[in-house]
Amino acid sequence: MPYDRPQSPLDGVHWVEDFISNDSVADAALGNQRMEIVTIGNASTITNLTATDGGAIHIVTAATADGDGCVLRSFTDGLVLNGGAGGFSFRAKLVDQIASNNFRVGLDDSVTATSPTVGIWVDCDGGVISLQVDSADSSDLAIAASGVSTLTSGTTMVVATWHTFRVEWSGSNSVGGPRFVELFVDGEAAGSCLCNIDDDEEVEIKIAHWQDSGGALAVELDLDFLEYWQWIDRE
Amino acid sequence: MADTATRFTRPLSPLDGIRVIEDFICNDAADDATVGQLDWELDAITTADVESYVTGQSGAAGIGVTNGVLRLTGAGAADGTGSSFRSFTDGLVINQGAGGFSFRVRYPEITGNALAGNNFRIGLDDSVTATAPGSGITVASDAGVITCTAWSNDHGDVTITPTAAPTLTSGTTMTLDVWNTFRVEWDGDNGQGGPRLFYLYVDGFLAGQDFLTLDDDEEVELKIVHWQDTGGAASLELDLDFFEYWQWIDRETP
Repeated sequence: MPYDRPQSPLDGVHWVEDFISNDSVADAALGNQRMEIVTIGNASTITNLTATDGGAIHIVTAATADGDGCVLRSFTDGLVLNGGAGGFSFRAKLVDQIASNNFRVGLDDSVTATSPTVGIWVDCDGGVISLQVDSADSSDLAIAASGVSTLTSGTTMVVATWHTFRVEWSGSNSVGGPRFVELFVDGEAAGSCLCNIDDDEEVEIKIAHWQDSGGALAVELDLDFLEYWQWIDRE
Repeated sequence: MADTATRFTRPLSPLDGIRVIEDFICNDAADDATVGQLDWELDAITTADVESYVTGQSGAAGIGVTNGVLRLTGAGAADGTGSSFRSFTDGLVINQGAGGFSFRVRYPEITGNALAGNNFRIGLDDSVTATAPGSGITVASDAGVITCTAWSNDHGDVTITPTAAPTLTSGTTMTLDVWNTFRVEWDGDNGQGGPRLFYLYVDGFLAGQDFLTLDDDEEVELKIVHWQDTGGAASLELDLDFFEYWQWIDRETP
């Protein structure tokens, strides 16, 4: 099914990171969008993958201490989540193991493993997937993925298996943010919740990966792409 | 509220033409050759502006939202100072057929900022200074007063001056702290390889049109120029939300 996206900034924002890039994986030089890298504890090793069907990166935590990881982000606080249709999508694989292999992908305001106070993101806690919709001004909402045929027990990522996540929001709540948020995993509806986010709560595009095994451990995550879009009437 | 209907169709493949978008949703860098997603070259006009990014701004019911904004702050230096952002010099020509560019700008309401002496020129042209271009198509603001000019070294210049744009003061002039969206479109064939007609839209309103004389061998580059001409030292600001350029090109017909 083709997905319609703003083709012009006059219709809104369409931001795509496909990791089809030059060789650099350094801070402010990673991927097509040259994302900023923020270390959590001890730096992860990031490499470009060979033989992909469209560009991918491989992230390995430092195996130094509990909590190690990294964050990839756009300019801090550069974005807000407004009413109207928008969303993000990405494709990820937990390469080597499920346990303690965590990520948070979407738009939020945290550059550490600490849970954000604002944003909409997909949370992977040892492979268990949930959709988080947090507001600093109002209350947080979340929904755990369930009933997805490609996830173990409908809830949990499968090791060494690509999964595609799509989050879409629509409508307008009473404080200018979106009203409805929905999570799709591998094309299947995995859950939905309302949204209390105010349209002045600032976020940035974010990929966070870390391990919480309780000790030193290298865990691996592959990312194929990350996309963000928002329909905006600019005329 | 914006819906999910595509109103503006652009070439999605290089086989159909060109689509370049700068949305300023990028990393933290704002230096020469690292500005924005396109890594714009930065040329100082004597003393460069200070470049920074603005944090997210909300908009009522999704209208007016700004996701990714570059702020140019005058250096407080002498009369005539400013900055020019450009793609590769002389890398482009403007050919016949449909194309255009669009952008969204604001003179932010910051203490000390004003329309007077606060100028920009945005589009495709061959000048990296405040001096008027020889070739290109640009929208210019002279202290907020808007014009759109098709410059041609070979055949003379043509200027559209809006007089009745409903979102401009007196139909002609930008207002402090108000975002305005400009769209310039061209189409047709003028007989010397360039487009035949060009149109200026301000916030969706057709503000004027005229015939083009531009030749298809006149070289230009993408351009954003901001400078002040107050007559003395001044620090004046301009915000940029996005810049877009597109040109439909048939690349499979021999």
